[in-house]
Amino acid sequence: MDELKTESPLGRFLEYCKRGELAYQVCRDDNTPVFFPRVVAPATGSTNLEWRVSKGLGTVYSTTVVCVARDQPPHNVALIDIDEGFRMMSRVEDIDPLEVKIGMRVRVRIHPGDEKQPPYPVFTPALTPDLSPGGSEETRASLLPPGVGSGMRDGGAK
Amino acid sequence: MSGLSRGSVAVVGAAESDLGQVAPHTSPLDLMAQATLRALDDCGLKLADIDGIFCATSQVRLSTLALAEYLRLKPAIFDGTIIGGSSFMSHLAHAQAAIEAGLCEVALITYGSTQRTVSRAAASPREYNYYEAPYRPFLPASAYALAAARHMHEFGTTREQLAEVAVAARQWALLNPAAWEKEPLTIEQVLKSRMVSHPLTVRDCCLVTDGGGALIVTSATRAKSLRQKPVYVLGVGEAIGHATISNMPDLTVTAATESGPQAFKMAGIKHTDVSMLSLYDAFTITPILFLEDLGFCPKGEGGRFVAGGSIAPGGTLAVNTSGGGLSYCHPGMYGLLVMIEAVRQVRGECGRRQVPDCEIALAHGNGGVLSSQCTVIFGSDAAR
Repeated sequence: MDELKTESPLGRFLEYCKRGELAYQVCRDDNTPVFFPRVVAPATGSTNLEWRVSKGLGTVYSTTVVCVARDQPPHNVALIDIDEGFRMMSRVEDIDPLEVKIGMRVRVRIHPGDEKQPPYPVFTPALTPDLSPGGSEETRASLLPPGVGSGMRDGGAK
Repeated sequence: MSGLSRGSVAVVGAAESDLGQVAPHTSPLDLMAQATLRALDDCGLKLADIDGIFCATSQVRLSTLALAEYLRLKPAIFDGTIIGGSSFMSHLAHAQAAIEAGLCEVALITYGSTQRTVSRAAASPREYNYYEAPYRPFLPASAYALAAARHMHEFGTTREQLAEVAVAARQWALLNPAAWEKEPLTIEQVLKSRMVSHPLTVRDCCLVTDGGGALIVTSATRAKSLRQKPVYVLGVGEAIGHATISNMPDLTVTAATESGPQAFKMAGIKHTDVSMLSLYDAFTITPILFLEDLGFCPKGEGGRFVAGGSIAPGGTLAVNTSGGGLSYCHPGMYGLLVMIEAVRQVRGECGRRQVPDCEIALAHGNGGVLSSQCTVIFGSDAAR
C-alpha cells in the first residue's frame, strides 16, 4: 500500500475539479458513497474505493450568512446534500445569500480558485426556465428533490 | 462510561482562577497554577498530594508537561485529552478510572486561557481543511448557526426562543458577583444586536474572556476526611461524533444522546431527581439541543421548553445558574467552569442564585462543533 507516494485523495479530487467535475468515492464493498475522499473507507476499512463523478445536483440541507468580515459583504455558507448520497460544505452563488433556503435545489459549478486557493466546488440555484412545460421531461425530473435514496456512512442524511 | 462505580470518587476542591481580563503577559499556566492553589486551599490538601494531572488548553500543546514543569510535580498518571470544551468532563471520567484502578489518589483537573488578552485567533488557530476553508465559515459560530437554522426549519424553533436562552443566562448572571456581564438583557436586544452568522447575533454567542479553573478529585473514602462536603461523581458519560460540521449526520441530534444515558444509567437516577443543569452554552442553540438530547424534553421541543422564562431564575428548571458561557465567563474551553458551578450548587454555596435543596446536579460539556459530548452527574452525601 504505497499509493500515497504517487497520489493523494485530495490531489485526485483537485484533478477532477480542474476538469470542472465534482468527484466522490464509493466503497465497492457495500456500495456506500464516501466523502470527503479517503484512502480507506470509513467503517468497512476497505481500500476498494471507486472514484465517480457526480451529476452535480443537490439540495440545501442548512444555510447561514456570515457577516463578520468588515472589508467584504456578507457571504453564504451552506451544507449541500448531493443526490448521489453525500454531503459537503459549500456556498450558493448568483443569489442574495439570505435568499438561500433549506430544501432549495442547486447545481454545482467549479470555482477556478487562484494562485493560493486550488479550485473548489460552489453551487447555483438549479431552478431554471427548464421547468417550463417546454423543458424536457428528463431535465424537469432532475430538478426535483430525490426520493429516499441510499443513506451514506458519514455526514449524509439518513 | 461502563465499568465505573457510582460515587467511588468525589470532587473535594473547586476553584476558578481570575476571570474576565487578566494582566498582559499572563500565561494559561499562570491561571492553571492559581486555580490549582485555590482548589487545594478549598479542600485542605497540598501540592505534593497531587499524583494525577489532567489538563488541556489550546494555547499549550503539551500542557501536561508544561504544568508538571511549572508546579514541579511528578505525577503517577497524566492525561492531556483534548476534545474541545468537554475535555474536562472526560478528564473527570478518566480520573475516576485512574483512582478506582489505584493509579493515583489525588487528581488535579485544570484549565487556563488568555484568549481575550491574546485574541481568539492567536489562542485557537484554525487548522486548514480544504473541504471547508474556501467557503470561509466563521468557526465555530457558523457551525452552530447551521445547526440552529436546521432546528428552526425542522421544528419551528424561533429566534425569540433562542434569545430566551441568552436572556435567562443574563438574569442568572446578575445574581453571580463573578459574572462578566452586569446589565440586564431583553429578547428585543438579542434580536437587534449585530448579526454574526444567521440566525445567531452576537448575543446568541458566548463571551470571549480569559479565565480558568481547577478541580481536586479523590476517592470517596479519602474525601470524608477533608475540609469540604464531598460532591460525589454519581455518573459519567463520554461520546464523540464528527470533527467537522460537514460530517455531522443530523445537525439537530448530538452525541449527548449517548453520553446522557450512560451517565444516567451509572447514576441510577431519574430526570426528576436532578435539581439543576449546567449545560455548555457556547451558543443559544446548544442548551436547547442538550435539553432534548439529555431527555429533559422531547426532540424538537427545546425551543418551546425554554420559552417564557422557564430556565431563568424563578422558572421551572434551573439551567446555567452561573450565567453560563453567554453571560458569566467563556475562556475558550469552558467545560471546567460548567462543572464548578454544578459542584457549588450541590455544596449549597451559591448565595442568591442557590437552587433550594440541590442534592443532584448535572453538568454537560460540549466540544468542537457539537462534536464531543460528555455528561457528569454530581450528588451530595444524601444523594449517594
